[in-house]
Amino acid sequence: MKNRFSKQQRKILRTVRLLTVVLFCACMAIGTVNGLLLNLRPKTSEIEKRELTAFPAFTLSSFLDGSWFSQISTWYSDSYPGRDTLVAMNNDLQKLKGIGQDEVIIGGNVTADVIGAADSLTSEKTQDSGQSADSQFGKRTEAPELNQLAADMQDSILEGLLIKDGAAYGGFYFVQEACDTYTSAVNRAAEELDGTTTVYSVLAPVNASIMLDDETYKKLSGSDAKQGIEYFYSKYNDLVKPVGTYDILKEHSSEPLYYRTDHHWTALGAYYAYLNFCQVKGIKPVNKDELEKIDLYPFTGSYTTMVPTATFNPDHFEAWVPKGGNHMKVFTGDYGNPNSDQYYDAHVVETSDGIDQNNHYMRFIAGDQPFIEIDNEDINDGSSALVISESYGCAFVPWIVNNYDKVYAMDQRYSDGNFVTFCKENNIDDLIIVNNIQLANSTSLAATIDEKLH
Amino acid sequence: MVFSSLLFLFVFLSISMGIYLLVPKKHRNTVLLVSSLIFYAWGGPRYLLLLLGETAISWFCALAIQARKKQPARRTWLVIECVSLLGLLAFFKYTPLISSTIESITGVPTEIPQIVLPIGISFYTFQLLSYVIDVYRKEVKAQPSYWKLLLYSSLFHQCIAGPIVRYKTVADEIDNRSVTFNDVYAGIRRFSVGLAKKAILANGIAQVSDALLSTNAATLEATPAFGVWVGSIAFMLQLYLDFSAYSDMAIGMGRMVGFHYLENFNYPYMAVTVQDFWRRWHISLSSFFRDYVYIPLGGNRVGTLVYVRNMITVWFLTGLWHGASWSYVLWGLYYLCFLLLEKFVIKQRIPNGWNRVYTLSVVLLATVIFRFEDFDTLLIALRGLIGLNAGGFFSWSAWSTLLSNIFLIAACIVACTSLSVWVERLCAVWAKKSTIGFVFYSFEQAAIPLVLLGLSVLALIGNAYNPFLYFQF
Repeated sequence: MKNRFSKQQRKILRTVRLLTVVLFCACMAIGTVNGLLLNLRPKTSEIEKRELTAFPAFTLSSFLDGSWFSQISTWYSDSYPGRDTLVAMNNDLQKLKGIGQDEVIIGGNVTADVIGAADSLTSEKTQDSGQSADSQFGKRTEAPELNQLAADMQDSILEGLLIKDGAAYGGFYFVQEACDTYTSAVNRAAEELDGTTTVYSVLAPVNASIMLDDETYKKLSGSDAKQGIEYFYSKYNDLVKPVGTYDILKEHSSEPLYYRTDHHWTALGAYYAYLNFCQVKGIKPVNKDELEKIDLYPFTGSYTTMVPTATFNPDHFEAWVPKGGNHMKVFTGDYGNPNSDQYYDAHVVETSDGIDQNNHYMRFIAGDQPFIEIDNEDINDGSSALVISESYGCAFVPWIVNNYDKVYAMDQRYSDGNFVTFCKENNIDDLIIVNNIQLANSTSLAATIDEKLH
Repeated sequence: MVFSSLLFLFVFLSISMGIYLLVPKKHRNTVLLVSSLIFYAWGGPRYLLLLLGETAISWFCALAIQARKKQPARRTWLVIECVSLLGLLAFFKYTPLISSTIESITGVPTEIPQIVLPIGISFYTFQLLSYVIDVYRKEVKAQPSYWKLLLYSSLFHQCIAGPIVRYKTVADEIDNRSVTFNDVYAGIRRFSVGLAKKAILANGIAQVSDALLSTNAATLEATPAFGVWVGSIAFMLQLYLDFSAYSDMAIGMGRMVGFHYLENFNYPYMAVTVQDFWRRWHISLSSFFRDYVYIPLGGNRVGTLVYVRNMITVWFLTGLWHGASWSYVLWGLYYLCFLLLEKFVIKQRIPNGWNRVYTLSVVLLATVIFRFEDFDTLLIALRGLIGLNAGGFFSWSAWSTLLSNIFLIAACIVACTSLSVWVERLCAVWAKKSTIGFVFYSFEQAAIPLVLLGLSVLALIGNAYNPFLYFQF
């Protein structure tokens, strides 16, 4: 048996290794040059739907303690040219980490508060020492910074997620403290607006509670969503008009009420909530079949980037264009002042091309905006509504446009100012608060709404 | 700056190496020194003063020791060196621990001072101590040039995360080193392996350990026993892969420029006893304590009681070196118990095969202790291992986490063994026997560094994504 390479083999091996060293150096050089192409550095990520880290501002203290350098490292990696393509490639590779399963549960290591336990003698937990559904990112008694709020909301969404048959389903984990903060804020607003503005509360169930059977829903170890919504509503005073959502959505659960790939409800899901809203308000809802409809395929929403290792079945994105015009103002500053000239024109439902398949949900009222105004040209009776919400309100607003002269919408996370004051100053008829129950149930969002409903 | 970052790869390493290769040989140490100081300053320029200062003290003390013939004078300078460096280490690393311990006993001070730990202080302090002690023992000559000693203490390959390189290992190479083509290839290959171990395997498995062996007490309480076990194993894999990856990269980068650092790990999870484990794990630290603490105290050539005292001292210090928390001391003393058990009770009685199970079980529990600085959370984890937590024994969430990472876990296990070395040897044997084997071997030699670099860059970019920075929807 030969125990040494021949002279020729050694020569070949040497050449191969030399070539490897050259190629390695070339790869490093390409990476270096690419990193230096500052004008090619992206500012936003399409695939992750977020703004990328900006180059940090210099301060002496951050220079001396090293945090400025650390931020430069983050900026360099986060805005590396071509990163979206590279991230997508990495996401594909991540799928090789394990066995693709029909069912994957992410999170779920939380113990919800007992719904209604606070109304008995003490606020007990289901487990003596279990984690509160809201505790892993700390209880917030004050409205958090915007980025922290966004982070908390994502934590809340990912608190328990079941991925099954190409779709993701989010759980609901009741938090007594958040419920108390949220409902007392709404009650207080209704009292302050008594006689001028009617306050409606629309709490949307989590998709798991509607789209999954009871047995599968239990795998998320969460709270009963129907009971949770009813409990929230039971805490309201008589001035607040609760809009039931659970039963009507459950009744239609064979229809696409929520996206498989995105954490929002669909326009159709929002439509059923709208039907109940009209019933509570005593007005006639629009017949959706009379409206112009768009249907776009494929739509791959937020879950696909939140859980890049999972395989999803893309959705159809359906939307109905409201009657009376599809135009709106998106204010870019001076929020809360409808007479401000700081705005641009946009569409209530964006029907044009130019929005990629990951971002179709942004077609509703141009995404999460601090302040928008929609004027229905077919209605001139002076009726008005203010919708405050997180992104669940985006799919809801286009429906109520059909019933009001003017509709204002404010994303409660990004809007400055006070919603109650706005209603008073602008003689708003109806204040409609639309939230997903799991997000309303986070202390962060509850603290934010508490602050802005004063 | 960490090795496993794009900035390090594509800015620092590529540019510093480019300049290093372009300048004349006589200026290469200067390039390395400037690069190392920039690298260190990146973590906080103010701490550079500490590195410069400790090196100056060591440089002066070593020269003073060498210049003196009489033992008491030499010893005086050695004591000055040890007191200065260990005093600085104690101040920066252990002040909060000492203060909080005193506070818990006496009630004062009421406010625990918060001192930021300078990066790499544990590593470069030990390097400089070993240098001065070796000069004292006349094992090496004192370095007359401050800048060359600074190059030794600050060299970016090993300054912040080891291995703890002895001065005598690199003394000659600081002044006279030659780089062969084989060195460059081997360095690149070793660096790529280390980068992949960190960026792909360690960072990947960290997600499993973070999910199932959370440091958040409430989350851990809700994790079932099955999850705690999977999380513990994942953390055990992560600990080795993460740490050894840095050593691989350091050894690889050293090799590229002609430094030959000693190995720091030797497949520790293949050990057959706890003693064997510690001969294979963080070798540079174990040998530091052996040569500078254990043997000077008498080693094992003493009576039983003195031996036990020596062992307690070494393992107390080993634990304390790893972190300023009593949990690390507990971790060190935990290992001590098994080392003493092996010495006096177990000896060689565990049959082959079972001895590996025994060793891995001891190490697994040790990694759980290592994970938690907080004793209360550690207790939750230990209860969790036997199913006494609120999470019970099993959950679908833990099961799906395991399945969705099963190939990654398998890859991590393989990476912890010497299987790749065996495969490499078999390929070489095959290559010598047949043409196909040689073609395959040649391809493997070319592909490994490039493929690992590419995959690592993808993983680093993927990991750079921080979902909590901003969330648009």
